[in-house]
Amino acid sequence: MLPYLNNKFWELVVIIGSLFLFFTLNSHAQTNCKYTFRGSVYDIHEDSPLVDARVELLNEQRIIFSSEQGEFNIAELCPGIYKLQITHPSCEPLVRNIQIPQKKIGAFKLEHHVNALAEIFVEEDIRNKAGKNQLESTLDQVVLLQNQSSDLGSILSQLSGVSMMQTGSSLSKPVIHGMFGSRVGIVIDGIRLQDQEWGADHAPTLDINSSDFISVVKGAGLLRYGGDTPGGIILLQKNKIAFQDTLTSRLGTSLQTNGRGGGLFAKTQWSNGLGSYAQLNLTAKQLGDLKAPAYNLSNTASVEKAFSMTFGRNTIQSGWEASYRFYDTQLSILRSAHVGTPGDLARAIESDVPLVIKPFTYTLGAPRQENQHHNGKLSYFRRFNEFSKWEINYNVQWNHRQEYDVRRGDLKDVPAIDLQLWTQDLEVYLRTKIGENYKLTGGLSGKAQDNYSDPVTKVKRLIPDYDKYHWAAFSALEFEPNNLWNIEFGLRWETINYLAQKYYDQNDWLEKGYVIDFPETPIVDYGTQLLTTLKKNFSTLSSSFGMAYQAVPSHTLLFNFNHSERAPNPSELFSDGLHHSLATIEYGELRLSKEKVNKWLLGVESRGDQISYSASIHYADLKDYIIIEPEGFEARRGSSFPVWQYRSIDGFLTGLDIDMDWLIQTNLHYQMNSSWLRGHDSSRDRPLIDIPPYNFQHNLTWTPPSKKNWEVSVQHQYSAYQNRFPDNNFDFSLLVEGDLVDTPIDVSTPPQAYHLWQATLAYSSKNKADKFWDFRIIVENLTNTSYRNYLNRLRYYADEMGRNVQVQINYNF
Amino acid sequence: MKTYSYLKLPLLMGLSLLLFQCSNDDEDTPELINEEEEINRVSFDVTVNNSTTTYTWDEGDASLSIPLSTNSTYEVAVSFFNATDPSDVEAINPEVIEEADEHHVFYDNSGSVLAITSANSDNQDSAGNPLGLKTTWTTSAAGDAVVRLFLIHEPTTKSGNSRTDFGGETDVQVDLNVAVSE
Repeated sequence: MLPYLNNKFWELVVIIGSLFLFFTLNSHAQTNCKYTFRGSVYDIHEDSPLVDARVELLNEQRIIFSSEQGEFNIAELCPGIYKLQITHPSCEPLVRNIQIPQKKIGAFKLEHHVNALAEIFVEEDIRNKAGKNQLESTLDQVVLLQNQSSDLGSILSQLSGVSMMQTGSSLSKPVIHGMFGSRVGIVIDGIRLQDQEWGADHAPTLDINSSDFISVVKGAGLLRYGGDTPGGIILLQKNKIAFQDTLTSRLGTSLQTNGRGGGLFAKTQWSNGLGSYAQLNLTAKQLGDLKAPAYNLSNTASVEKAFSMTFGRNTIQSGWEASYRFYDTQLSILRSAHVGTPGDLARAIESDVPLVIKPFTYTLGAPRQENQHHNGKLSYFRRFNEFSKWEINYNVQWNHRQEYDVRRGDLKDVPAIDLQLWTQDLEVYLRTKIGENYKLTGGLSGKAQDNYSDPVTKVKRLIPDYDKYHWAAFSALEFEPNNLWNIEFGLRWETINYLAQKYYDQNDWLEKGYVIDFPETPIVDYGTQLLTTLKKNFSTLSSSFGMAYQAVPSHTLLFNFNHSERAPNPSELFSDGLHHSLATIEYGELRLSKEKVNKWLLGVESRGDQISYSASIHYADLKDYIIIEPEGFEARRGSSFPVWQYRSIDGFLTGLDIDMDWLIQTNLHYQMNSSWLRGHDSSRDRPLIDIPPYNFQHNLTWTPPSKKNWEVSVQHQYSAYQNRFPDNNFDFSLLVEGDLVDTPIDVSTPPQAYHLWQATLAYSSKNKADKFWDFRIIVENLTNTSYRNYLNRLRYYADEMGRNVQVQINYNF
Repeated sequence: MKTYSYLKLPLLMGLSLLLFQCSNDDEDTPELINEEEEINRVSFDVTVNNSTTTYTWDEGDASLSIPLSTNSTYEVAVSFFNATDPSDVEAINPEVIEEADEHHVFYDNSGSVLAITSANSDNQDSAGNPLGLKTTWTTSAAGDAVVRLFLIHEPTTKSGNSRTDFGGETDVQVDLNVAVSE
């Protein structure tokens, strides 16, 4: 896709490209379009907020809708006077002039008339908000655009309380309040993503560029999408489509020096006045080997392709949507992280540099992962009175994951893991109002999954073949007595049935005591291996309570209590295999029961003209919480490998998140967030593993007064040393001058604290025209700092990525 | 009549889910997998004066004792096997020889009660480096030491004095209790 050229070429491309753009764009630089205008819309008679009022900047063709609180924000405005028109289906239109910059929040009162359509727009926001009573942080289109070449884990780690679990520098997955994998739900346009989410080295199989908003809801308050996500839910959403003739597109590219590659991004959206719409997204990315400050990170190249399309029609009374998403990625994993024995691991930890460093290449060698994900959706909704509607959603997903190891002979090109996961999901959802102040939502869903583990691998299946059936019923009642209070209570019941066919080593079946605990299991004896047919049934009851109280006009207090119950995932129950990056053997545990988490969140949010902030504390009480930790050794390849066994413990996780947004001056903007977290295993009275250390990040954005289309920002991140960690060190026998000496391998001590700097220079030709350019240079790891991250599973082997200069160009038309 | 048409879509979807579930009821039995890559048996043919003794290590054995005599020269040939299925023991040496460039056999002999050198009959990789499958062991004085054998996959170099020098991954390692006596 991208030409295979050398390093010099890329540096030249970046330098020449930057200079060219600097001079051409600077010559007709316009104004500084970074102001946000805030306003709220009220009904003049009742003084109640008007939801979904249509706010249009005349001559600008920019339209947004007011929120449930009747509020709206218009971002990226240039200084000047604008004509604002506000309409609501049941009201007289209002036209006002506004001056930008404007610090005051505009208050607009509309004359409200009784109209049959009046209630129809109620509750319809520009995007579906998680709920008034939930702690939610959102990354908008602007942030997503800046990070278009990034992945979900790293983009979300900009938010407080969210960090990422990495496998090398190219693969990450989001961690919310210290939880990841099956404890974090990922929902794309209302559909829960179904991939092999249990693996710490499995990145979510989705393309962030096909969404317009990404929100994180901390805690398990969104019961519609599952009661098993004590960490939280990540919502990826598209903009609501306006009822008008539009055709907007964006073409973009990003090129970067580290990895000597980049991506191409295309997006187009069409709609007409009758409510029909279509959207199309394309993404293609390729990177070669990444580079740490001191050496190449050999075998970290990647290729990513994604495509998505959506068609639909929304006629207010009813609507349908059909969508299809395809995601394909090939990621190679640091070569030096593939070890044969604990002795190899010890040598790798001992060495300051990776044991394999080769010249730069775009070639994807082994080990590597190849993933394909197909995601199709059909949905339909119909309103049956002013507020009420029902929805039906059908979804089918197919995930194919192949992992290639460094292998011998004929098996070289054969994956060591080859999993195919089919999911079908059907949901019926209902929303209605009871009286004036109560809203009731509820639904039923059924899900069928089929996992197939291809024997072509010639390696014992890490995850067996299984079918999983999932039935759920959920309901939530929201009570809003007035503008100050919002209270919601929800329940979700689920039943989960596994039917697995798994081979056990005869010895394992006996030694683990399964022969006693599961005497009824149908077994076919193949000598050293036993084929077992396992049925595991779980039923869970999760509940949530959420409350928001507007104490003073600028301050809202939030309180959430969630009780979440989660059935063990297939990895926790059944996994069985060797882990090449950590030289461990991992075993599932059939006797695990469901995990229970009670989580309390208390937060305060304030939004002012100049300073906005939010602060929250959370405490999660963990009961039968499933973790994996070392338990004994097993002889393999003449070495003794540590065995890591899933087991359940009791404990707690608690922390504090702070966010602040400060408009120091009209052209100077400061943002900060900070998270502190502590996790404890009470069963063994020791810290929990993989808890992110204290993290502080802030950035300062400045617009030169004379060059108002330009923006310069500097970002600093500090990640502390994690001084609370469990000791999982083990001994291996080292041969010293003909004698065996037991020597400890330190796999526990976290890496040192680090500071990272990032600088961005941005330009936008955005003004009154429909067509405009966005241009951005981002320098990541500005000081080329060598550092390692505690939550990187390959931290023993190599440093993180060094300096990276990225150039992004986007054309909107 | 109108209601009926609204229900058509959900009914259809429900039906498809049902069909999906039914089609899976008679799922095929998963195929038995015998791992082909494991090396869990290593044998040493120790030849002196045209007489060969074979010492065999199996996975799970802590170490393997090889008694030697002082002031002698031994020809030692090492063989690797996958003995997961006892009725079908698979020899790994042909694969190692075929991929000679990506393999190396190394004896960590830091105890120095004997000298280990590559034998003339040893296999070579494409660059002429000895593979280490066949070695000559020369003893002098009496003494005991542990000699550790490594089969290394994708070594970064073919020459070195310690395991660290070679890089790569260890496919198998065996500890040999070498006792040199009168």
